[in-house]
This record gives sequence, C-alpha cells and structure tokens, in this order.
Amino acid sequence: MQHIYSAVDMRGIRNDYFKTVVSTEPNMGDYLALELTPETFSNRRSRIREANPDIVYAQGKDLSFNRQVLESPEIDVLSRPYPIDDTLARLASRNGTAFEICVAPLRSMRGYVRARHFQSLMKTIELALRRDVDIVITSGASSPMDVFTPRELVAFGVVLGMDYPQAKASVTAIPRAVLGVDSR
Amino acid sequence: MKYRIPKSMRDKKRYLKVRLIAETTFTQDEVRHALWGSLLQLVGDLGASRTQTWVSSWEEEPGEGYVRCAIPAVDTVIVALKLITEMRKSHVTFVIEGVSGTIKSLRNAPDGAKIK
Repeated sequence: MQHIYSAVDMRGIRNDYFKTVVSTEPNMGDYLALELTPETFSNRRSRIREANPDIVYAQGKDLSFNRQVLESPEIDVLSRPYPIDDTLARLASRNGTAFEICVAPLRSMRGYVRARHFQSLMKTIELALRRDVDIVITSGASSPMDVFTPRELVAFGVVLGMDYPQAKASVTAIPRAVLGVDSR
Repeated sequence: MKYRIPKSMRDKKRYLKVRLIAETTFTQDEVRHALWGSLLQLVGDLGASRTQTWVSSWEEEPGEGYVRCAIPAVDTVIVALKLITEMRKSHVTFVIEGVSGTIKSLRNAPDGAKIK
C-alpha cells in the first residue's frame, strides 16, 4: 500500500517517498505553506498577501484563540489543535478547516511529556472523528533523518485511534482535497 | 519432549524490512535491545509481550534487517521503531521499507514495487 504516487506530506521536505510535499520553507517542497503563530495571527491578511502561499496554517494556542482561527476563512489547517472541545470541532467541520497531527515532536519527547502529548493527540482525533473534521497526518521533517514514509504516518494514525482506511486517507485523499489537487 | 503448536494452529506473522540510518554500525543485539526498550516504553510489559516482536535477521554493514511481529501489532512495532532516536549516544533513525507476510516476498520485491 501507499504507493509513491498517491501520498502527500503536508509538512516536510522533498524526498523519495512522497510525490507531493508541502513545506513552510521556500523551494523545500512542491507547495508553499505559510504558518501563522499566535503572535502573527492578528496581521494575517498582510502576511498572506506578501507570501502568496498555496496553503495557510495557524498554530493553536488556547480555546479562545483556536475559536478565532476556526472562524477565519483564510486558514486552511489548524496545526497543534489542542486544547479542543466539541463546539470547536463542530465549527471546524462546518467551516471545512482541517486539523494537523504532526508526529515529529513525539520523537524528541520522553516519558511523562510524551504520554501527555499522546493523550492530547488521541483526544483531538476522537473529537475530530466524531464531528467529521478532516485530519491530515504530517511528518514535520526538517532534515533527511526526520523523514517518515507514508506507511509510518499511517501507523501513527492507527496507534492514535484511527481506523486503517481513515489513517490512509489522512496522508492521501484528504491532503489532496485540502490542496485542491486532482485526486486521481 | 518439547511441545510445539502445529503449524496450522500458529498465529500468523508479519515481517518488516527495516533500514537503519546512522553514522556507525550496530549489532543485532543492540538493535533488539533498542527495539524492546522502545516497545516497553510505548505499550508496557503486557502490550510488548502481545506484539511477539523479534529481530529475525540483521546485517550490520548495510544496516538492514527483518523484524517479525504479530499481525495486530504491526502499527505498534512501526511506531516503536520510529520513536528510537538514539543508540550508543549517536543519532539514529529507522526506516520501514516494507511490510509483508514472508521474508522471501520482501527480498524479491523490485525497487519500483516496494511497499512504502
């Protein structure tokens, strides 16, 4: 499964395993993404105009900030979407904003911190699946050593509580739909 | 007499083709210790015992080998392998090159058709 032609890494660097890679750095991927932090979110329109990205991410912070993000039509993907509740999940479903599950931070964590992070990711996925919110699983790679294969991303999705077909769609069909690429 | 379960009654297994990216070489024992340490951290004693994981074969020089595990535990073992970031105080990363029911089919898969 996961043939090279179908998988999309929504946050990574260009590699042999994915046909399409989205990167926040120019010339590192096939598509350019702009990531807005809580500090830069207020002047998002000017930043989007300057960067002219293919896709816009916003980092989550707290419940009220996440609500602001989900109500903004410019934002395509909410990264680090925790803390999250049922109301915000419904809002994301209505507005078509996807949640990003990035697996890179798990590799640098240990013990209690990693367990808490797993807990946050599992709760986010549970809410997202209940309210039909799109989920994209990303590698977050910044060097060739951090690259994940599509099969590995699917394995992370399954371990975090998704079904195999849902996890597979999170690295193939859903990213292509978010990017607006023909899914054939 | 040693009791063995008949072949037809044994649980089916999956084999993972694994490649290690590192600056130095590592023995099969070191890889096995790292894998079991990561599995125990991830799923605990009981969960690790259910995965029935074992490093079937390992070649030090290219840093490639085959890991055997139970079918329901494939994803857990892949995650455990990916969460290994350090061995003998050097930065390492495992890449899963394929998953199959037999080692033979993993060996014979042409590069273009490799399961990724």
